[in-house]
Parts: sequence; C-alpha cells; structure tokens
Amino acid sequence: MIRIIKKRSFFPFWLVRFTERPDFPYLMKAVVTVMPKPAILDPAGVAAGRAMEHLGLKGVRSVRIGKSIEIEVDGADEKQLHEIAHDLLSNPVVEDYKLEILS
Amino acid sequence: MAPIMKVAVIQFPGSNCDTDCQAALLSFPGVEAEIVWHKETSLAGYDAVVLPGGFSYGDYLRCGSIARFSPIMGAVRAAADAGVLVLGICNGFQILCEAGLLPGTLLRNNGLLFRCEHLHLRVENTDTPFTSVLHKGQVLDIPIAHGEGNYFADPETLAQIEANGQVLVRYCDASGNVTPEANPNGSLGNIAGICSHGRNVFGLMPHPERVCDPLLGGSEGRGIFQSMIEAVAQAKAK
Repeated sequence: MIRIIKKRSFFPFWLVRFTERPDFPYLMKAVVTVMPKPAILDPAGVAAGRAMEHLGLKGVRSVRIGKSIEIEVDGADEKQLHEIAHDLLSNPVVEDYKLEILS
Repeated sequence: MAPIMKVAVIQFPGSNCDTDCQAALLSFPGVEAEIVWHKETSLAGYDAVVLPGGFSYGDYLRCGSIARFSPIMGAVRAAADAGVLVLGICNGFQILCEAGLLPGTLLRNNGLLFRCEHLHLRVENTDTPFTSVLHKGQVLDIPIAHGEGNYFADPETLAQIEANGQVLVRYCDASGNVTPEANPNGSLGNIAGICSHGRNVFGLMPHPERVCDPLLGGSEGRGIFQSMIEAVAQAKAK
C-alpha cells in the first residue's frame, strides 16, 4: 500500500511553479517496512512471544519481528526507492517489504 | 616459477578471517595468495577467489547485504561467470547468497545463539573442484562460528539443488549420521555448504581455513584447498 500525502507549500504562489520544477530538491520522507515472509520461521519472534506469555499475556498466537527503515531523501523517484527496498533493504527470498511515502 | 594457483582473498571492511585464509593458502607449495581490498574492480590474473569470513559492514541490515554491492563484487560475478573458482566461507557464503551467486539464503540460527565449536561434516559429492581429493561419505572435523547459518531455500530450489548434487557438505555426528541433533543451526537438510549449478562457486558456513595446520587444531580443512589447487593445475595443463 502506498499513501501519498501532498504537503502544502509554504512558498508564495508566484514561487510555486519554481518549487514544482522536477530538479527542485524537495524532501521526501519514506518508510520501508521489511517483514519475514509468512512461511519463514522467525525464531526471535517465537522467543519474544514466549516472553510475553511469561509476563502474563494470554493466548499469544504469533509474534513476528521485522524492520522499519525511515528514509529522508532529496528528490528521489518512487521507482528507485522500490528498487532499493527490493534489492538492498530486503532479501526477496525470505522477506517482503512495504514502501510508504509519507511526504 | 609461475605459481600453480594465484588466489585473491577479498577483504571487506569487517572481514576477520582474511589473513587466516591467506596463511592457510600460503601453507600449500606453489600457491600465491594476495589480499584484495573490496574497492578494487578487477580480478584479472587470479585463478581463484576466496570471500573470507567475518562481519562485513558489521553485519548491518543483513549479513552480507551491503558487501554484496561493494565495487569488487562486479569482478567476482564476472569471474564466477567465466568459470573461475570462487570459495565463500561463513560470511563469504552469506555474501554469495545475497549476491545471487548461490541459491537460497542464511537465516538466524534457530536456537538464536552464536555457535562457535568443532563439529562434523559429511562430504556428499566429490565430483566438484572443491571436494575432488575427498571421498564420498568422509567425515571432516571442521569448526563453525556463526550466528546466521541456518540455510533456507524455497522447496523448489531445495529440490533442485538436491537433485543436482549441489549440496557438498552436511552437518553430521562423529560417525557420519546426518541427524537433527547434529544440526547446529536449523539448516534445511543439515546443509552446511552448497555449490553453484556450474560447480565453480562453493559456499560453506564452517571454517576449513582454521584447520589447515596440525599445530592449530587439525588439518582436515586442507582437502578443500588441495582440491582447488588440483582443479586449477588440471585446467592449466590442458
């Protein structure tokens, strides 16, 4: 799922055209969430789940531990971010990723 | 006299078995071994490449995931495609899997512990440049030292590598039985090391370079390097 929220520009209207030029270095914030695929055993998640039961949480069915990677970048394109999330940030053999563009 | 085999030992930031590998290789007569920094872009003139163990880039993100994009990896890939022998030990195995030069990947050990101990390996296939001087079913006593050595591949890939005889070594007990108790990390099928479809890329989690000298714990790792030397010498004689 990709959510795009357009930030309102604080530039006056006569400068808006300038800021919307593709080469203008605007800041993009994105979050990549990497999770082990459902079929993969996540031993760290299982251990954390047992600890939760030990603390009195009843009926723990599944705990899975992934990573969340926050990125701030000037003027990246989304396709490139997807490539990076696929090739570098996750290992497609055992992990799925989700890219969210925040602004 | 020209060396029988000239080996490049790739050094990444965080490699820590690079000089061990070099020393182990130099203990064979006729072998030249040089440390090659990961920023290099050429491996011309080398007969074999070793990716040593360690913690490249601090194992950040995933083991081997950043080293896989190091400048030298283009040359390693080209060498592998050209049939040059590429041996990945421990972290080197993880890098080869991340780079897609070997199928599958290595997950966190199922017991979550870093396992550092001597254990036994059974040789499964001797029809490769890395195991030719060993014999099938031979049990080697070689140490492991890893936290992420749990070999995983999807069922189709696994069936394929098993059918192709790409599994070269498995964890076993002292008498050579492949049992769940002998599996230190949860690897599928007790897999400790696999080779590529073309047989010239081999990755394994145990450290053969640490058992290349009887004074330092044994010499059972020498067979793997000896096989490489013979393969290179044979290729050169042709």
